Amino acid sequence: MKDLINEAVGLIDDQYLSLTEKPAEEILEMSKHQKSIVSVRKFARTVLLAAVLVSLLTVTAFASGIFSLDKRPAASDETYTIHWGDSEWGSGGSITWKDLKYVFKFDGPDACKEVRFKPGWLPFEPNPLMNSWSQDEDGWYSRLVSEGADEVDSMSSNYQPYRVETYYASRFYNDGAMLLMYQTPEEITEEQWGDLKVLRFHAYQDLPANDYTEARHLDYYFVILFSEADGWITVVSGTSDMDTVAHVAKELSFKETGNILKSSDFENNAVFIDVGQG
Amino acid sequence: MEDTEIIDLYFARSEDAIRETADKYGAYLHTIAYHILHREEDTEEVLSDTYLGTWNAIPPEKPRVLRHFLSRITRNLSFKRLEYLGAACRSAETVELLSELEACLPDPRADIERHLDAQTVSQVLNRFLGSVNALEAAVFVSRYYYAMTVKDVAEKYALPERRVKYILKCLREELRKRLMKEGIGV
Repeated sequence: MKDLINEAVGLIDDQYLSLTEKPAEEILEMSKHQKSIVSVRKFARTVLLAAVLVSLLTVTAFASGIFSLDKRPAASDETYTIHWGDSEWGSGGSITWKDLKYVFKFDGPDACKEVRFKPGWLPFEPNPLMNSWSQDEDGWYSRLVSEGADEVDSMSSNYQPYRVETYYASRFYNDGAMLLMYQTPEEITEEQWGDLKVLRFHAYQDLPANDYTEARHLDYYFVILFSEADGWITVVSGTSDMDTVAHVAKELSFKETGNILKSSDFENNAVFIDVGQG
Repeated sequence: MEDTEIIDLYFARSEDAIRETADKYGAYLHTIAYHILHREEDTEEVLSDTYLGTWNAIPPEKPRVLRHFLSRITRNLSFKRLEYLGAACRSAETVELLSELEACLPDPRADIERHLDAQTVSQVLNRFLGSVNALEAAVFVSRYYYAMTVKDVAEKYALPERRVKYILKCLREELRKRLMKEGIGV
């Protein structure tokens, strides 16, 4: 198939090959009067996933920064240092994360549109107490977690059936990264859902036996939604199964808050997204 | 020398045709081959094969635009050479280029070679290029026909690299939809 499309490109008409021989100014001038598929897409941009469409608050003159994502296993000597300041819980300090499993890096301008989300489907209701702080008065979330449908779940390894969290590429602007510290991803597949790049993968963690439990193999599922236009990243993850996690992801709807988030809005430039951690 | 005169030399079976072709288009063809191969030795071999291929093709062929006729041969031979050299000799840039092209296909896993030929796909591709604006078509051709890097395309059209990447991404997605609509790979 790759050969076929490449061979077809080799048969592009002379008239289009000739375009590249014209001065750039002439091409740009010609384009002003012609329909552009790119600008049409931008104009029609929505941040919608499935069927539920929430109208965007405003279409501002926000520079249409284009963000990109790069993913790779962490280098053996790769580290990220996290700092925190003094608080009511104690004095400030720092910690260096090492022995990382996987790294997601982002490229783009230091400005992302803040979004909030609402679930359209969940396997069961989230605990309202756990999520009240991350929900605005209109019921839109910045973060949503579940610790299980009942006490049995919460006591077993299946302790976080779903979790939805949003991050921003600008947070990682100064050489930061989104990390998997303990859980190792297997094959990561890429899809396109509307305007969103979607990464799906299964990850696992093998825990050795100790005095209290036998050795365990734990499975985790991730669907990462990435807006290449606006720089937000919503990580839907959980211990349930891929179908459940993907279902939650597909039924999310988003709205822009109108805020622009820059790297200076975040205390640290690295975060880990392991399920059930942090 | 004018292209028509060079073509006349081929028809007259004069070996000056090759010298004139090399004088006029050697640098242009070298650029195309080098963008794909990134190896000087292989590039030179492809150029020699291009001249030989042109000598064998004209006549009976009578190119409308000699420059493009030659570029097709060079491009084709460069990719064949790349295939011959094997994966280990491919530059990361070319691997990325081919992978981007593959992303235009509705279902890269589908075994459709038996049902389609490049000619059919190129007809859809040409109609597609006719439906986008001049800049978008030029960016597509620069990247995927001439195998230019995104950086070089950005410099050529005085655009930010990010913008070029975005245009290419939109074009690939749109082409993919167009191919699906035309029943290719469905």
